Amino acid sequence: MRLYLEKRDHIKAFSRFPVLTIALLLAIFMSFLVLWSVGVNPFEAYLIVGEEIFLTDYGWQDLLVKITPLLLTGAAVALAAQMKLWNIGAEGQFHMGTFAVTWGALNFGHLNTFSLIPFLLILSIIGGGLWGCIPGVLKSRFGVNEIITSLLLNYVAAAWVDYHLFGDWRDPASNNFPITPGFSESARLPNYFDSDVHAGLLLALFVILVLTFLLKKTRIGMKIQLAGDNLDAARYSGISIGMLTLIIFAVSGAIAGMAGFSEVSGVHYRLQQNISLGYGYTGIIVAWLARNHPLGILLSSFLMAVIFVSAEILQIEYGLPISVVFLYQGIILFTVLGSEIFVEYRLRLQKIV
Amino acid sequence: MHKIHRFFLAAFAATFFLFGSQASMASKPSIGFVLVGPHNDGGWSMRHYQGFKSLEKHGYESEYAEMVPEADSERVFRKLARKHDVVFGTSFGYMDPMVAAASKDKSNTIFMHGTGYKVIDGKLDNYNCRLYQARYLTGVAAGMLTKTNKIGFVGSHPIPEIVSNINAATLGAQSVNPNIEVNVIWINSWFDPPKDMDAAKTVKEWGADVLFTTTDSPNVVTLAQKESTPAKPLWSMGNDAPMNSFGPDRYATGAMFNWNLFYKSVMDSVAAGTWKVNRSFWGLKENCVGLSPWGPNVPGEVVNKVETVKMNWINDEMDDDFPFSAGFTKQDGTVVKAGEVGRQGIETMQYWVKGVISDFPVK
Repeated sequence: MRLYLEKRDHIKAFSRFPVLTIALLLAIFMSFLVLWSVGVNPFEAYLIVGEEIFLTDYGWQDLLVKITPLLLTGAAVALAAQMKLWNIGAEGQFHMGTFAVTWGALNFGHLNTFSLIPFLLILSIIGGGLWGCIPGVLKSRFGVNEIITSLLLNYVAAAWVDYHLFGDWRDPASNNFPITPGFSESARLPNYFDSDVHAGLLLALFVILVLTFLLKKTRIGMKIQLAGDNLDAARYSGISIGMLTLIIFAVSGAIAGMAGFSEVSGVHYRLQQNISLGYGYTGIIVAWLARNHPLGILLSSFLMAVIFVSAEILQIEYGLPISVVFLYQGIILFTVLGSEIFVEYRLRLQKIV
Repeated sequence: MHKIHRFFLAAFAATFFLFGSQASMASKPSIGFVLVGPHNDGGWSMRHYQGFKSLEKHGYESEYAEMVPEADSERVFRKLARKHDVVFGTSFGYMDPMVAAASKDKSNTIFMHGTGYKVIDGKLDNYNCRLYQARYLTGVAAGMLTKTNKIGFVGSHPIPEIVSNINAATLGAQSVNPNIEVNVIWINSWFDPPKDMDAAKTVKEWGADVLFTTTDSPNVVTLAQKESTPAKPLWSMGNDAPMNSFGPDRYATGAMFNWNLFYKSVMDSVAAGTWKVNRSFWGLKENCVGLSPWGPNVPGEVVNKVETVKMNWINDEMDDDFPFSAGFTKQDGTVVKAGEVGRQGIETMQYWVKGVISDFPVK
């Protein structure tokens, strides 16, 4: 007997659905086992988590606030992946976005909202975009692997932000703790309906819409997808792959930079350490789950946000240690991401005679 | 049909559970607390956790969330505030998120912020304990134990609380050994074991034979145990909690917190309706700070000397702001006279005393 994977002859667009459903059911079943093994009634736990998130106004608020950066970082990664480029650097581009915005907010805080907010948005686009250009240039000019360069630049960006937090940007009133002074009122994004949901969400949805349009309806979108499908064919058809790579990385970085803008100006109103909570890396999972489809990102960032927010609900309601929560989150990601292979392959059993 | 039936049954059970648990807590105020590290980190967060859990025998139930990043904490504070009468946050970086959560909260929930300096009358108080007192005592022990006259510190964040601790240890060591030099390596984090170990090795290479830490990992204790030789003995001092299990042979003692009694007093005042903002700052006399149990190899004369100083302090021979209230010399040579530095000066301390040889980190 031998187990092996066989490539499916034709993959129907619909064939992801049953695979994903089975994966989710499996994930829920396995997480039931985990919860049950630590003495928690899993039905009750799921009900409480669902109730806390979906049946309360604060649950929705938390969820929408959490979705906002994931939409943008997910879109950033997905855009590059359309051309089969891996932008692992959304985290660093996010940080450079926050850096540029903080520079603007600290130095031009006296401006009024209508000029300052667009200015900060442009700064975040420049900050994240330029940072994205580095792996872009290295890839298109010298063929350097973009996975390595974009990943390593994350650490440089975090160190660069720390350098300013521990140095000239440190709030004199903070008693030497590494946080910047708070932003002026004019540098803060408006909130809606007396909730924590801020204008960053609209920005994120707008970016996704534009991206969908760009990829489906424009010449450059077609070029990107052609280059993603078949690089040689694209090259022979006269597309400048180097230029396209650079543009993709610049735009991808700019989108991740906007996520940074939305977080500092919409949530924290200041720069501090660890502001990202790994949104850049989570963006990779978001894009992967969405199969890099801009609209799919809406769904997958929703799922990731639920996982994020459920962490403290399980802790508070059941006194579970965070490690059990991590385990439960890991199981969901593992099964859902791992199931992807069964979209393209089927498991076969062969008798060896 | 069957499935729907079961669903409702489960929903009913869940609601019953919710209301049931709330009803049982109604008699005494309940606690929600947030920890910046894991509840079993062996240091800072563990001591808080033990403090809160010790209140169960007095009828104060508690729920908590751990490893909550400072940048993501406001949400968690607000969530706990919806369920509980008192919400505690135990990290300096929770200050502004707690201020935000407390100002948005419309219920009667009380917010208590450990360390920090911001308060909102009738809503948010902050508290700390005078760990520098215990650190002074460990400094006395270090001054007697060192052979190289060099003491090494692994520092976390250069906020006044940590700075005052290092200064107090230096003054303690100088009280028995005037030739002491103290070197500090900052890791700019509360908990980062690899960086922590590098810093510990650096001060050891510099020549320090008594190793202190102000972080939450016991690396200095592990290192002293591993690299101590009869020719070049090393000693280690724990931080926040007893850390002797990580290197019992070369463990001296350590400054640590005891939150149990303080948390009980807070909850008693809430239960009695007498709670108000008062910025508590307990010390040795109230048993909020103390020394962790002595290591087995510490010479008796050291134990005797330190315990004598401690006893005298508890008996009010020194005041709460000692050693700073007794006067000292700053690193730059400025003389601070007795009585010049009090609680305010300790809580904003941003300079070294003479004897610390590292540069002061940027202000």
